[in-house]
Amino acid sequence: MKSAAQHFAWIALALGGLACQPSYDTISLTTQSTPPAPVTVRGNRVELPAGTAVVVKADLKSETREGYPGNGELELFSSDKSVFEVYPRPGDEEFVIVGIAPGVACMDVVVDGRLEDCVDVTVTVPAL
Amino acid sequence: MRLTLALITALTALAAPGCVIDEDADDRPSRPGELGAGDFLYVCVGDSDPLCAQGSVAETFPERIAVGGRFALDFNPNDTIFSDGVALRIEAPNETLVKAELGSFSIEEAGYQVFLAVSSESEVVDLQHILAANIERISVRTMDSQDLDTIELALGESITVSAVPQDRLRSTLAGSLDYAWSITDPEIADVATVDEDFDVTIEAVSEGVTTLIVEAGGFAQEVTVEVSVDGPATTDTDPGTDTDPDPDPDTDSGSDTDGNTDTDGNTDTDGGTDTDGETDTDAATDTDTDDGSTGA
Repeated sequence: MKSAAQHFAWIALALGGLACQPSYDTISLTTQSTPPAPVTVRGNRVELPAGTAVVVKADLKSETREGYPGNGELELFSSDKSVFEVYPRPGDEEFVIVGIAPGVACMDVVVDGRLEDCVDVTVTVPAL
Repeated sequence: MRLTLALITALTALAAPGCVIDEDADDRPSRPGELGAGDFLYVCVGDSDPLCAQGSVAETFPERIAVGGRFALDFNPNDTIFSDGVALRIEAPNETLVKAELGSFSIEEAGYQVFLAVSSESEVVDLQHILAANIERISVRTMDSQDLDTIELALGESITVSAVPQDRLRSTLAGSLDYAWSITDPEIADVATVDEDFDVTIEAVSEGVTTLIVEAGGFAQEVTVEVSVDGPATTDTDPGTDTDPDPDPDTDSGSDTDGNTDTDGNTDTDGGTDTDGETDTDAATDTDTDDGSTGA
């Protein structure tokens, strides 16, 4: 039988562990491909023409501005697939963003199953 | 027996490297994927794709595709990245502007459209942007690729022509299109369809001028059709009957450039003797060969 002190110690450890987990702060996107039309990827903002795709590498940052040390799973979703689509690439860090039609929509950033952020994706008219 | 088997085995092993027939050899034109995971291959759909004029395999990977032109893509993954038998499919994310039907695509608006090579796990392994352009001109060509602005025919003559869509820079646009051919005055020239509306034969019916119209991808191109008794101006366009009775051939080689009515010997300035007795009224260069001169 565990004593009250042992119980207290376990609870304290658990709370301490939670406090030490990194807390999501922001996502940083960098371009990994060279589309035929101008595409802007700056930090957490994306602008691209309809019909154009860009590959981005996503880096999570914690509140301490350090790299996100957790091995959490990152997923990106389009809040409006009539404006843009986002596809995963093999591996965990790269995604393909495809402009569908002119407009602005949110790219939902989901870390470990939790919605953490919204990246503005602006889609402009198709490039000729 | 053993020796024979060993000999056969050895000979087979020696012969094999030079005799391998690569059944997967693919002569379809390709372009490396933008992510370096393999090559995208262009596949013609139907016979009316100008890139496949010489057969079912395209000559090159197209720079531009006509808006509304049908085509297909395939993907050859790099052996070094993917194991054999990897299942990949080509997807066009923009379902509004790219129509996918029975394995072929058509782009409905000018501009770039991306095509994705997607794995069974729905991961994008590679991609390719394809540029679609509006048709700004349809080149009407003879079968030996001579571009025609005007079709000149003699009575009873016929010519087979084909249509090649072009952009404003006169670059050929790929993709299969449905062509509609018509003639404004079928009593002068008629159009006989051959080869799935892609090539047509124009037949001269009676003397006169009419217009051939070819329509594709929302664009209509007009070509003048001139039917004359004697055919194109490169031959004798003299409307009169030339019955030169002169037994002596006229051997002058000068050109008649006066443009005036030639009344046989009065205003003929070509330096030769025109003695045929016929009224010559055309102002163009006369290449009558019966008198040897080029006078009008």
